[in-house]
Amino acid sequence: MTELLTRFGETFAASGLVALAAAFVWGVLSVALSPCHLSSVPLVVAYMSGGEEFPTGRRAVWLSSAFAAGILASIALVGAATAAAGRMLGDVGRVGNWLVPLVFFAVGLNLLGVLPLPAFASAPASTGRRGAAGALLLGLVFGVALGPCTFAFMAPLLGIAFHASGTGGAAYGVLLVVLYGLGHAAAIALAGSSIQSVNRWLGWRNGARAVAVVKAVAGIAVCWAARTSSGPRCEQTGAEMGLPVIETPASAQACCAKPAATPVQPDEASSGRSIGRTVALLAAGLAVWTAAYLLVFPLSEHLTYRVLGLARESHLGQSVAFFLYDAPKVLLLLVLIVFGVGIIQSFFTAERTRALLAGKRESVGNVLAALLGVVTPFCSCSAVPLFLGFVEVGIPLGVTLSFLISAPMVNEVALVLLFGLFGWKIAAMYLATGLTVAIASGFILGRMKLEHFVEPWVFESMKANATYQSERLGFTGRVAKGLESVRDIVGKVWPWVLAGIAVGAGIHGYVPEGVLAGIMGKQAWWSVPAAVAIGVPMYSNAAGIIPIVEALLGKGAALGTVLAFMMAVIGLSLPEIVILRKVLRPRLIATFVGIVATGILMVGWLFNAVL
Amino acid sequence: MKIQVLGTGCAKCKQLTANAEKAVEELGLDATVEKVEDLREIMKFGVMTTPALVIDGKVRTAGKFLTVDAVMDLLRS
Repeated sequence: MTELLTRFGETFAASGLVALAAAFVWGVLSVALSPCHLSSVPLVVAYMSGGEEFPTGRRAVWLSSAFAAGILASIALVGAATAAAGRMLGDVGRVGNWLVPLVFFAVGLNLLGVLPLPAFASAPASTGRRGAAGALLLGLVFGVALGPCTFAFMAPLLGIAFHASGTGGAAYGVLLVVLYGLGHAAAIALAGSSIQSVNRWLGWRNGARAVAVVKAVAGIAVCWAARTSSGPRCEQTGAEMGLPVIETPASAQACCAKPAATPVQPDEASSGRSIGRTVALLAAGLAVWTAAYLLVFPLSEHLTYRVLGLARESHLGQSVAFFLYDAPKVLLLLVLIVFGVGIIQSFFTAERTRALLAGKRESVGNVLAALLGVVTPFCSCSAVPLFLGFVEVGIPLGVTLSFLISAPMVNEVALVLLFGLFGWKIAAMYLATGLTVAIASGFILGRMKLEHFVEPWVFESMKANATYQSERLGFTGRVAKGLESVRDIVGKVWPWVLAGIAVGAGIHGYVPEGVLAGIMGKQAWWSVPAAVAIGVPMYSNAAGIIPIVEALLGKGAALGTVLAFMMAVIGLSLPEIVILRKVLRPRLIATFVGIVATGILMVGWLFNAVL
Repeated sequence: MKIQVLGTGCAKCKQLTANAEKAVEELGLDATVEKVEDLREIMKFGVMTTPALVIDGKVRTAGKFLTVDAVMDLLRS
């Protein structure tokens, strides 16, 4: 795959028929490789399934071709404009080197939501008419709306076309882009036409249900694509297609309860057929994920040093390469791990965790509570009911606190980021020391017999007059849970990840090596308490803080200092303290914070001393 | 019919209350939607994760935000 990409890059540069053929193949591949473009397939499907059944045969070919033609027209327009610009400006060598990165940069900012580009803001609104004209229009708008994504794949090609029109005439440049567009459109038309076969392959006999499922998937995909070009459109597009609206994570919602769009039907979970299908879809998903993951590095290198033409030694080059490599890599890892953890978490509901902990002795209980804190879904807004629920069944205070320390501090997002950015050793160290802090702090707090600093009403008998049994899930139900977590968690943290990596990229490229060694290095013993003191009141999720931490580390900050900072930021926070105040008296809260902070401090010093 | 949303005041709890109200309206049910914020009251239902949705005294979901459609499904069954 990697070789393939390099080969295409080189072939573009060579002139002649080979390059034209390569442009066509690249067009086909651009659909197969890009998630944005793949989403155009479900869009055309959703469009065609405006009725109850998918169109078949000729009509399917006709409609998807019209849609593809629309996209093609958009791309050709962009291509012609580029070629014309190349001819007019004459001195393409220099201008081309500037203009392409500029366009690319603008598009990148647009993708990040920093720079709104008016052309991309028009929603593919016309889903009303179901004729070929409607499909054509939809394709046209979609082609423009997908601008940022299209450019990512067209950038190598545009660069060549730009040069070609300066040296070999505009016609050749236009031809290159048109052929790319043809390949691109052909792939979409083919995919759209074969929906009925895909449908049959998946073994859906019930046509109406297939339409519903495909529409839901299409909605998510289109929202994703729409979100990459401009945020609020997502809801509009989704709603127009009659889909459950996916929320934009813009508002600062402290609660992490998971949205449930589709309640799981137990009867479906038991059928072997649906299990087989889920497994097939999972395998396909994993294959796509692996391909994407393998492509991240070569693509980031190619984009930074060849397409953008940045020098390897330059500050900008290092920053851009850092961002283009880390951002997709971390997001991919996040999706996979959050999905996996979502499935694991479906086995550990708060109720089951409580049942496991009830009746355990203190020491064993502390260890178990800290471990369960990692795998039990936790949200700081549920901290108090959880605390009450634990205490109610007689789980000791210290054990309960072990759980409340470990649950936010040692979470899957933190571990994924540490693994992705630092490697497995540091992730494992974080896991081990985080658990140790949770176990030890909870144990000590338990020994201190602080029960009388819990608000007295907590221990009043609160015999529940209703009991809640969490729903039973089958295999497909658990997979649905995993997807739900991905949508919920990744949907919420991705802007943080990107922002964090952007700041990290800046530090990586521009701050000189070793500059932080003096203030955050091993020798400065006071840097650990300073990091903890700054980190405790701060509240950020792991996603925002870790990429910054990585950059600090690269510039000479000591690992212990940096890990202590991170634990303090995500493990203890002012909002959580305020919430816990409802059930704990100030004295107990102060002791709790003091002991946990001391634990973190020890971890910091230990690492600085040992490593 | 009596619908209660249990939650201490996080954003999702408020949204769930709004969704429950919308669902009742859409189905044209004769039902009251009540938000329960008092911790002691919440604990009486035996839930540990919020928001929770209670229909006629029976906890139907906990620790889960529901769309209007999902609430409507629960109300129908």
